[in-house]
Parts: sequence; C-alpha cells; structure tokens
Amino acid sequence: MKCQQARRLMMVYLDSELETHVTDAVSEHLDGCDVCRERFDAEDRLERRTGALLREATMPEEEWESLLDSLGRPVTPWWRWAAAAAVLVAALSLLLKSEPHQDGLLHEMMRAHRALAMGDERADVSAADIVGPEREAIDAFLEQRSLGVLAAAIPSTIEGHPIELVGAREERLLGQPAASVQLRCCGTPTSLFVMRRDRVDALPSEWQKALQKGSAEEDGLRAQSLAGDDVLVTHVWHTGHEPPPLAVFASL
Amino acid sequence: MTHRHDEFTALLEPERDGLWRFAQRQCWDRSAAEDCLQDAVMTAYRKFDVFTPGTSFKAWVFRILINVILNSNSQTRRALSRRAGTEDLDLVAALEREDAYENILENVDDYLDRVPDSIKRAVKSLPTHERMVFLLRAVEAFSYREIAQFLDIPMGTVMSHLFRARTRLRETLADYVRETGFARTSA
Ligand SMILES: [Zn+2]
Ligand SMILES: [Zn+2]
Repeated sequence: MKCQQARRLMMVYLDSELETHVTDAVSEHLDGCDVCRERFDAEDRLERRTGALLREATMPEEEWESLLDSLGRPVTPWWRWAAAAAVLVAALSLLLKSEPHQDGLLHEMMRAHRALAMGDERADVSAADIVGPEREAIDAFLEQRSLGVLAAAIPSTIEGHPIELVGAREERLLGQPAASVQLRCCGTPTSLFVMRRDRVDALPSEWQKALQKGSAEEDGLRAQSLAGDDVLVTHVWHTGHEPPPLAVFASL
Repeated sequence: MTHRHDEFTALLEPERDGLWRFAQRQCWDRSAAEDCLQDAVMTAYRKFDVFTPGTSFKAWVFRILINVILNSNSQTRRALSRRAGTEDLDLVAALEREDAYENILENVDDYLDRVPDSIKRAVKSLPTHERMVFLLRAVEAFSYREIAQFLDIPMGTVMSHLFRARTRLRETLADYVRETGFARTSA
C-alpha cells in the first residue's frame, strides 16, 4: 500500500470501520512508514481528546429529576414544541396562499426565522453566532454592527404578550443588513427584525411602502407603531396562540 | 413505582448525560432541547414494551431522540439525505493548504490543554446535519451502520457527512490558531 492510499483510509481506519484485510494492509503500511504513522497518531489523538472534551457536559440533577417526574404523568407535556410547529405551519401556509404578493422580504424573514427557531440548518447560521440573551450583550453587538437598534427598545410585552429575549444576530434581508433579534412570545420562538431607515430606503419600493404605512393590514402583514418613528410589521395569522408576532419588522 | 418504571429508569440512567448533551447541541436553545429530550424519553417510556431486551438500549433511545429532533427540523432531514458527493475522503489532501493546522497536529495535547473551548466552539459552528453525524460518531461512539439506521440514509452518505464535518472542524481550528497566534506562544 502507498502513502496516499493509506491516508485516504485514515479516518475510516481510526474509526475501526474497515474490513479486516484492509485494516491489516493499512497497519502493515504504518509499521513501515513513520510519516503516515505520525499523522495517524496525531489525528487519532485529536479525535479522542475532542470526544472526551465533549463528553464532559453532564445533565443537571434537577433536570433529570423533573424528567423522571414527567414519566408518571399521564398527559404529555410536549405541547409547547408541537404548538410552535403548528404556528409555523399555519404561518407558512398563509405565506404560500398569498403568493406572489409576499415574495421576497417575507420569505427571507421566514427563512431566517425558521433557521433559528426551528433549528433548521443553513450553512451560515448556527447557534454559535447568536449573542445574548443579556440585553447588554445584544446592545453592544447591535451597536458595533451599526444595526441601529437597542435591545432596550424591545418592549417586555408586545400586545400584552410577555417577551423573553433569546439573542441576536445579523441577517441580510433582500441584500440589506438587518438585526435579527430572537425572542419568545409566551414561550413561542419569535423573531424581530430591525432595519435602519436608510436601509429600508434601499429596499424595493413596494416593500418601503408596506413597511412605512404605519398601521396597515394587508396580505398577512400588519404594520404598527412601536415607539416614535419606529415601524413594526408583524405577520398576522389565526391559530390558538394569538396574535404572536412571528416576524416583527422595525425600522429606526 | 411499578416494575416497568424501575426497569426503564435503570436503563435510562446511564444514558442521561449522552442524551442530554446531544439534545443540547442539536436544538436551538436550552428550552427546545429540554422539550425534545422530554418528548423522546416519554415516547420511549410509552413504547418500552416493544424494546427488545438484550439489544442496545442506548441505540434504541437515541434513535427516538433523533426522530423527535428531525421531526421538527425538515431542513436538516433533507440535508442529511442529500446524496454523498463523489469526493474521495482524503483528509490530508483536503487540509493541505491549512498550514496552521500543522501546528495543532504537532502539539495536539498542548493545544487542547490551552484552548479546550476552541474545539467546542468549532463543533457548535458546524452545519446542524454534519454536527449530528459527528457527535454520534466521535462523542457517542456509534458505528457507521448504526448512524445510517438512525438517520435512514446510506452508509456512504454517513461517511461523506462525517468527512465534511471533520474537515470543517479542522479548518476552524486552524483559523483559531491564526487568530490567536497559538503557534507563536507555544514553546
Ligand atoms: Zn506512508
Ligand atoms: Zn405571545
């Protein structure tokens, strides 16, 4: 076996997933090749240490206790999760029904929201680049990126619904930078998008109009004033939890 | 408590940390992870009658947890089943241009002792589906075959996701080395 062949099999060999005769052939190569053996050893050590570091995380005792408690309960408490999914499905079907009007901005907001709220994967989004949940951390992040909003401007209730901050990240909507602030409305994952006035001005004119109307309701979009000049636009839909703002758009 | 209850919790106890950290690393936030884990454990409890004694309880309960997570995340499910590329899985060739990675390889233990959090951050930054496959293999030590069964995808696709995850992880570590100047400060 040549070095290149051995290396191509390296990780599968280290995972002990090769057939016996192939394993033997690789081992034989390693016996006679210092370069490969060193590389194999180093990669093996990295993998093992990584696994060990990641195994250090342990479940808090009180969470384990409450998990055991829930076993005896007749009613399943996963309604929170199911409810969030139902709400999203409803919002999505609303979006799909009202196409082509809501092409563009809403789609981008929905996609960004789903990526985080539902843990959906997009190569460029992960929990790692969310800052927060402390208001100070979110403020510092938004200020540093000139995203033009302070977490302090986010009310602790929206339409009487209790709001809990989860974090913030930068998002691009129709090519314009916007702050995406994740929160929970009555426990339901919700996203609030904030875009600076000059960025809004750079959006296609139909969206500028929709966002600046102030208090219009059309095509599942509702605009309402948040504070002073700020404009809020929320999705409107009709499900059990009402009316949680799934995506809120504010421009300062 | 009943006999069935005791038997179930006795099997579950050794897996609690593994299930917990897997849920924590695959869900959007703590509370979603708690919901997923609770959903999975209650489902397992309800279905405990169909668990075959003598087979791996760990694999059985992980499979349920993975289903709960993927049921609320169709995009990751799709990303997982995307067909494997035709790339050969040559990690050395893939990282050829990452000079900084050489520094890590020369001092793996030293590097991880100094910056143990860098690896955790790098894992966090993986795409969800790649992170899932990587954690199942490198942390929970499931075989390729088991992972393929959990995710209902071919073994070749498991290997391809795993390869990409490992390459991406190492690239991220190399980035940290460049940013933090680890190589310069190590003796
Ligand atoms: Zn060699
Ligand atoms: Zn609410």
